[in-house]
Amino acid sequence: MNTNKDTKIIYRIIKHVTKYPKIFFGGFCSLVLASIAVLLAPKLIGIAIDLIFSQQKDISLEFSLNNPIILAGIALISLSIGRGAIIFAQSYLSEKLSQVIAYDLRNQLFNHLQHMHFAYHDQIKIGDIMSRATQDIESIRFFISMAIMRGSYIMILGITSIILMLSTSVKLAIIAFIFMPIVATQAAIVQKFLRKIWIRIQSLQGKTSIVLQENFAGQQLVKGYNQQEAQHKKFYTVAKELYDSSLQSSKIVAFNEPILSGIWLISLTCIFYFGAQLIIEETITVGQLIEFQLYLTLLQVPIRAIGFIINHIARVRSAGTRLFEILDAENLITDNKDSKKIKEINGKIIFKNVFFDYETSNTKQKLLQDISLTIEPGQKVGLIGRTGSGKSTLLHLLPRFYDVHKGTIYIDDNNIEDIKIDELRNIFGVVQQDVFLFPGTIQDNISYGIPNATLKQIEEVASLAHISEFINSLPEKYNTWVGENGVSLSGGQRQRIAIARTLLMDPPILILDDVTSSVDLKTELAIEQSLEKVLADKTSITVTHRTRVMKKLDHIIYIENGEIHDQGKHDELHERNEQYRDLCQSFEKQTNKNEVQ
Amino acid sequence: MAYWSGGPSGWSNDKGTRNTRHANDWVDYYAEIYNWKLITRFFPFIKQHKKRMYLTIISMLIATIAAYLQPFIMGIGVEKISDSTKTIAEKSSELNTIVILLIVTTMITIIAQSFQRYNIGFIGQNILLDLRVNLFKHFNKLSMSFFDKNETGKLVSRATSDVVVLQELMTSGFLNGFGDLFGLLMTIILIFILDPILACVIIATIPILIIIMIFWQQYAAKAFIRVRQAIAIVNGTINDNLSGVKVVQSLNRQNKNLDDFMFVNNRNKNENLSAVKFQAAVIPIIEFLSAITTIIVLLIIAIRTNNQTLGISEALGLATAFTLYIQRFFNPIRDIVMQYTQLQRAMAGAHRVFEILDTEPIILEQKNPIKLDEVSQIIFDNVSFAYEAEQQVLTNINLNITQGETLALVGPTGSGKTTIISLLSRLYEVTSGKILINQHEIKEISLQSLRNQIGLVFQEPFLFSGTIYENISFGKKNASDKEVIDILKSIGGNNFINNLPNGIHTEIAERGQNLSSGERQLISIARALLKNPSVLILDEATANIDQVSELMIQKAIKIALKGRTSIVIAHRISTIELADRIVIIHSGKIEKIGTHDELLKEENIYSELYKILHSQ
Repeated sequence: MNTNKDTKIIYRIIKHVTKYPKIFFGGFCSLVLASIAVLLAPKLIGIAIDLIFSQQKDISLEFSLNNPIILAGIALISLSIGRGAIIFAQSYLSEKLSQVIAYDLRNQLFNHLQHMHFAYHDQIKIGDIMSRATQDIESIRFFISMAIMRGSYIMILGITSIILMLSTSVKLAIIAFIFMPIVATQAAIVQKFLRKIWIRIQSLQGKTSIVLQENFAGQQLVKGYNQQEAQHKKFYTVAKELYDSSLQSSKIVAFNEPILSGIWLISLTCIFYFGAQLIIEETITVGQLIEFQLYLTLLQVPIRAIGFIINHIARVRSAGTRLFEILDAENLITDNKDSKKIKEINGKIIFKNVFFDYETSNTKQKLLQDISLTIEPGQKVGLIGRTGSGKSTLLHLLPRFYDVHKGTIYIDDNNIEDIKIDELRNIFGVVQQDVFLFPGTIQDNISYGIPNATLKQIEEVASLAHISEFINSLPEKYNTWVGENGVSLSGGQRQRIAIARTLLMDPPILILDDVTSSVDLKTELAIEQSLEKVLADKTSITVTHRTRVMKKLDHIIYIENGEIHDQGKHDELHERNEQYRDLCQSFEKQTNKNEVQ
Repeated sequence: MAYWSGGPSGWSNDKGTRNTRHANDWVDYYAEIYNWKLITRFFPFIKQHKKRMYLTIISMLIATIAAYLQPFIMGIGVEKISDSTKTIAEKSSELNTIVILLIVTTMITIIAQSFQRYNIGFIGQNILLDLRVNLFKHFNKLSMSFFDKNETGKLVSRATSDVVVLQELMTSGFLNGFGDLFGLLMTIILIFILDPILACVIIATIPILIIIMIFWQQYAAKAFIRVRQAIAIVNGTINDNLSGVKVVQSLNRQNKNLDDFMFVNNRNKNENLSAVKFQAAVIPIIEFLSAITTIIVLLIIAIRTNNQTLGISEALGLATAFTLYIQRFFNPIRDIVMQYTQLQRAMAGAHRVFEILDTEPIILEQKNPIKLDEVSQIIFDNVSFAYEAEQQVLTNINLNITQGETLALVGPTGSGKTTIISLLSRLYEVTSGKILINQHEIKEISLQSLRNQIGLVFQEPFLFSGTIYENISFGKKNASDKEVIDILKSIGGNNFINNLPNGIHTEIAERGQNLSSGERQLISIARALLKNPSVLILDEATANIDQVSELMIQKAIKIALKGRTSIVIAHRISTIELADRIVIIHSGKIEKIGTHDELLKEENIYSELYKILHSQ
């Protein structure tokens, strides 16, 4: 393990703590006071006992402040009230410190991730990020409340009690000290050992999850192929492995706990034995012996907690590494320093010698090769090509979802990299082939880009997208919940909600990436009709497989293998370009096959 | 409350809708950590380990008695050594006896406790294994409608995390709780033996403790539930935003989403802080109680010494024993408070696990069901079906499918085609009407023999982790390599195997990523054919295939259909044309049945669409 890196991580977490000096110092002061208060109680009890019993003369129980017994009683009661208040403050402030830091980290993580470039999101797995957002932040939180705060408390408590014990009786104190490190190391070693088994148990739990997951996802097959028995056997095998490891860990716990408290009981006995001898010799009093026993009882819990604290420190190193790895990931698509605002958009687009490739792809050939093209304001352009020819990629470069590797893209003579990103993205309305809807109402989803849109505006775009009729047929209309636990929508319905969502933004340039591929023919025709109206005064780029649509477009750009193969009007291309003709034919065939729904 | 209306990652307009949706899982079961009814559900599982259980209880009793005797012995010790009438030598020898007694009780405690804990662990782990396996078996007995209603992810978490929290309950909380209670009882008995009046002082605190616990149940329990709901919403929001991050960026909603997130995140923080107040407050109260009780007890002893009703040495003995007992007296309550959330979570977990075990499977076999050797005729007689009472999916379906016939089901998405074929495998039960196979009603036929006769191919070829061989031989576990290869050959799909490193024994990557969609579908067709079913069902088997593999699959399907009774759901005319008869289904009703040529002659959806496509 890289110690330098580890200290850096812990240092970084501590830096978060220093952002809240008030809470930290409040917490720290209260824990110092708390440890003193906790340890004063045995002292007072000891004194009280001695006062009562060691004096051979009569004891007065008269209620007077001169009476030492009454005084000790009052002191004890006020001490325990004060101690209660301080302990409360201490635990509350430790928790508060850890909660505010977790709150900050979650906000940072959330905001960082939602700004990260698309290529980053292509690489990550949501499940992995979620486990960092939940478990790792929780580990850091525990580190703050357990290791930093509770750790300091235990240290102070330990040191103070050592001093107090030494001042009571050096001989007894030494005997007590022999046992403390034994318990602490025992606890730490067992913790470490258990951690290893725990890691194994976790991986086995992962294995059972996979079997379960497959069993549920493939349930139709399990039933249809009568494989219940075989599945049970498969599950039993992993469950048994899990059982074996779990049993091993519970065995360790079973023996560890009693041994730890056994060591403690034996130390109490030893103290008692030697203490009693000292009483017989009259070097200490009974009160002092009881005081001593109480110190040990009080220290028992914190010392055993040392093992847990070491564990939390070990855990925070990996948790911190994992979390900071995300927070430190560089956002590759950000605003330029001198990025400008643009006032009005005419809608002229120019690609100048653009090259692009996804980082993950390992083929030698670039996905887009030397693309140069011009789209005039108000022009309706079709982007035509086979699957995988680079059409969607080209479209993704415009709103800077990805950045070009070489070359430049201009909008109205501005390099898109000089325009503020959020402004740039407001220029383009992109409707993708795969539609993502958020869990929420239909209204929420349509107004996703403009959260304060009125219902009237929403209804308007919904009817343009030919989805209003369907929405109105639902009992809760625009308040219908979609997503988990909500109504399930067909691909076509989702697609139309996405179109409405984009239309609501009223972008000057519309990008439609094969948007009607999952709707039935009737709906498709209807959407096409209404889109025609919307597109009338806008620049647009359409990806389509329909020759019917291609015929109506102003200009066709025909892409093959990441290069512009030809461009012009559909009829021209159809006449002069044999490959284009073939492509159109294969599209038509495919259409025939797909259409009978 | 501006935030309460807002976008999908905050709340919906309808106040708190999202809140309840995300938090649904927690609402029903709360609070009571010792829900007796729930605890009794474990008894049948515990019963299997009766002997061990008795031994455990006995060792727990021994351990508790030995441990709780120690303050008593120490008290006597103090009394003996502070007796001024005795010589130093006498005192020393008595001290030795006391110490030996203490060591003996300690050893007994260690041994008995280890024994007890080991056995609890053993029983607990066995119960968990039983629960897991029972749960798994039970899941597989439940009908398809159960799986439609519950998402896979949720079911997985029920069978994993809910059982894991139970593990914590088993290994620590559950029986330790009884140990604590027994310890409490022991303390009360021993202090009564020592001194009944002083014992009463300690017992007087019990009502106060009960009040604290009731208060705790009332407020703290709910606070902890709110904490869990709040964090569920926080995590749900992160998850949603990550899933739709590309939409978020293209619509520039980052600022609004951060605001929404900060709101739920802040609420989570506040819920946590208000819950921790309860936890942090109880401990000082208990400490205070224990201090007060100690003082009162000591004062009473002092008064009695003063009155000469108690000797000095006896008084010292009592003082020692009582201060130590008071410490222990409050320990169980401290434990409960500290472990409260854990116990609560475990109870919620237990509740949900048993909820599933209590779900009755809808589809059951009759006694002495009929075994099916082949399917010669299938009749749908006035079959209607609804998933939920109001949602009619199929209405009065009448079909007669004869041996060797290929039937195509055509209709818009959601018209009920898939439901028809699911009913045939009896994945669901018809709501009214009958399905007859070889003149036997489907309910009378053994499920296993029915499903053995039916081969299923779905739109999404689902592959299990494992090798290609394992996937193809899924329905016929003992198939030889040759059989598997032959079946692939017979549908013309053995070529891709040759390019794989280990042939049919190549491991399939996660979600089949090392295979094309066509290859995955070939595997699933081979899987269906290997068990040589008399009926083959293809549910949009070519819908998600890339252009390259399409021809290959078309060919495979053609071969597979030959001479077999088959039902095909398809959108592609080339597939539909293979059918002997075409059934047009619309809104759950059969609109028309006929051959391709017959249907084209008249006005219907099929002919309409066919014409649109060919007019272009």
